[in-house]
Amino acid sequence: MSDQFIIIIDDHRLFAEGVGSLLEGNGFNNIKILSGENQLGFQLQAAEPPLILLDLVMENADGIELAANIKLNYPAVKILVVSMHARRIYLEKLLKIGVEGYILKNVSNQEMVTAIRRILQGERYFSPMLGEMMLRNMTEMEYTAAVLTPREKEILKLIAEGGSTKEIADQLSLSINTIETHRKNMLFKTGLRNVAQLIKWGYENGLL
Amino acid sequence: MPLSKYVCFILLLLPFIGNSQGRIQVLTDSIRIAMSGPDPDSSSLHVLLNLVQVPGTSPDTLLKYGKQWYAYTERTATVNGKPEALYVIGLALYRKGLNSKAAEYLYKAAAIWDRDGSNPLQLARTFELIAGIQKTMQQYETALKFYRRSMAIKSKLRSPSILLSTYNGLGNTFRLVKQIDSAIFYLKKAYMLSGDNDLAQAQVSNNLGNIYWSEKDWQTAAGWYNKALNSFIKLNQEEGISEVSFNLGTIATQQKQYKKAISYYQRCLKNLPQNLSLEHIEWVYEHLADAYYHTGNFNKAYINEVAYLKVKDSTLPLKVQQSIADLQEKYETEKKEHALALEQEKTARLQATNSYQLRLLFLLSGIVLLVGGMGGVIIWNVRRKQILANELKDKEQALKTNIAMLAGREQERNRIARDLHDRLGGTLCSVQLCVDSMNDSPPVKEKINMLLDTAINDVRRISHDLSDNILLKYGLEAGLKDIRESIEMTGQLKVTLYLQGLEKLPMHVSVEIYYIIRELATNAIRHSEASQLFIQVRGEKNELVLTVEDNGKGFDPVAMNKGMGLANIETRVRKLKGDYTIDTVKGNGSCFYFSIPLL
Repeated sequence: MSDQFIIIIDDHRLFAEGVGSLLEGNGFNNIKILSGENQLGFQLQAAEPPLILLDLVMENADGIELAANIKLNYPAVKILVVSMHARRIYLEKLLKIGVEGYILKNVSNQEMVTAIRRILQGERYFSPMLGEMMLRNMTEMEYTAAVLTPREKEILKLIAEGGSTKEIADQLSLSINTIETHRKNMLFKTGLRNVAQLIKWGYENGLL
Repeated sequence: MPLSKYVCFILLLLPFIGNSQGRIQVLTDSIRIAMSGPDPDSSSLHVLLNLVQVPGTSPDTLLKYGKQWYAYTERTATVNGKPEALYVIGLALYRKGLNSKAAEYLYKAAAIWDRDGSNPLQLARTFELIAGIQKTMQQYETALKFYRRSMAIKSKLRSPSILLSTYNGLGNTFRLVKQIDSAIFYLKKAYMLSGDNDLAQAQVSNNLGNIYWSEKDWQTAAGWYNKALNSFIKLNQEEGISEVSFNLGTIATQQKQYKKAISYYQRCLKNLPQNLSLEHIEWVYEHLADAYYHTGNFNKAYINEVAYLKVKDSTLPLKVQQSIADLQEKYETEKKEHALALEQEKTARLQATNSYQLRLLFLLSGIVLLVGGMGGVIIWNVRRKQILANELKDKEQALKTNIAMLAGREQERNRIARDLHDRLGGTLCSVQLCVDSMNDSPPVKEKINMLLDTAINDVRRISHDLSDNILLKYGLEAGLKDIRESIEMTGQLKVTLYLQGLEKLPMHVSVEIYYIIRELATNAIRHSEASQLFIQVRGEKNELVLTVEDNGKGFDPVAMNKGMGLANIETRVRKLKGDYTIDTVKGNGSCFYFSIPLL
């Protein structure tokens, strides 16, 4: 295992070297550190590494674009993203690109080594914190029913009572435009076509 | 208590002291006496309010005694007299033209009266004053709200006549928001209450005239103006006579009754009050010149145009001289042409032939007249536009400065975010790597690791909150979802996002919308105590509609005026030439509406 070639791409020299020495201490002796996409093409042509550790946000390179490029041209190369950032949008993009792992920079040494070993054995590895994020993402997807805001509920009630836009505007001391905005927002959210349907929907959903 | 008896005695004398300077003296004396006592004396509170009602009291005097009384209530730690003092200070500031400051004090006064319910009439008056101030600050929605509150209180007091001023205010505000039906409704109500109060009658009918005037219902407008004119004449109030005559003149002009118009304008000039602004005088001359022009009296038109230009002279000397020269030349050529026409007419008549030539002549002089009239109109328009343009320029300059400041701040924030993240964050992670590989005693290592973890998470969060990276890379929708993620991670607020039609939004609009929402979200987290935040962005064909609503405790938009966040939002909205309204009531959430034009 010790002759496995690993490339670390990170513009933070100190951190990259720290990871390098951690890996060397764990029996990985063939490590190359790059600070961006410079020389990467050359390196990959010379010798395809089984694994690249990749930072996401770098001064002179975008890790996500880089990952997509690597996967496109060298699909056999595995990628473990090591980043300070934990954002859902990055996770979504990276999953689509098909990286093998995504961990945060402040994981313990042990976890980092574990992640690398597992990926090299053909598994995938994501930090537990990111796993939670994915889970939340999925629950969010299920939750698509329209939710009215307090103001919208108030206005729907007044519409159902037969008030004209102008009367409602007067009653709430709001402008006609404002009431129109609420009405359009409600139609948009519920996907309904007109006020009559909206009122019916309000009754069915216990808002009226 | 002998002190209060003395005050009472003076107050009993008050009605008999006719001249207002004397009354002011007596009132201020009794205020001083009342304040010299160790305990607050509630029987002398209305002295302060009486001072307000004396017509000649200067705002400085009011301010002085208002502040002294307020300090007195603070010193004696009592609520008694505090709202009165705040009211007087607010009124003084209003009369000095410091609108938003005035509103602040009045609002405080109203809040106290509202709470203890001790003086409903005064509360209603205060609401009405706040409404008036909001109206002058062009916050018409807010103004209407306060007028309504005032009306609600006054209606319970069973003295209909006090509602006159409220109806009048409501009517005028409705007129300004172009809800003409409501405006007429309230002003007519006010007119019914005016009874034999000539001044009220004059003012209300003048306002009604103004409404019909702006509705181009000249007949009805003239009817009300005539009523107003009669009342003003009865009162011998020059300013009113002058204003109404002018308005009647413009109506006559509209109806092409130029002779009638001229006589109204002349009446207006005769009654010009001394302190009238130059702008108004200028207008009168302008209209008068116009009317003479139409009656074909070029000489008088010229004289009035010169008078008009003279008034204007101070502002735009060069242009004015140019146009005087133009007009003079036009007048000279017209005179010559007229003479020529007469001459030719004579010969034509002598020859008693060729009526065709005569007709041609008429046609020619008609064209000359038309060209002259059009030229005049164009010159006036150009000049009026120039003044407006200058005002606009100043405003634009201020806006540009604000925009530049905001852009600088965005850049700076992003730089800090990058530095924080790339340098400090990376270094902390490296330290953690080292610590982790140390062979130290577990508890110490554990603790250091925990501290480092906290530090790294903080850096991560702060740098992320400062940066707009995701917005710039992946667009508004991703940026907003990211804001939701950040907020929900704090666990304080549930954020509901509804987004539609944002795909083709230009980047510069996206950026402003993003920052506006971020600013509002920050406010909601920090101040609103809300549990839910709704962000809805709908891109339509020509317009982007954004609403941000929370279910928190709401706020007082008057007091909020100063908030830095709102000022930034306003700058961003104006940068996009958009519009926004705030709908918030204390205790009932808040909702911001934005409408941004899309080209």
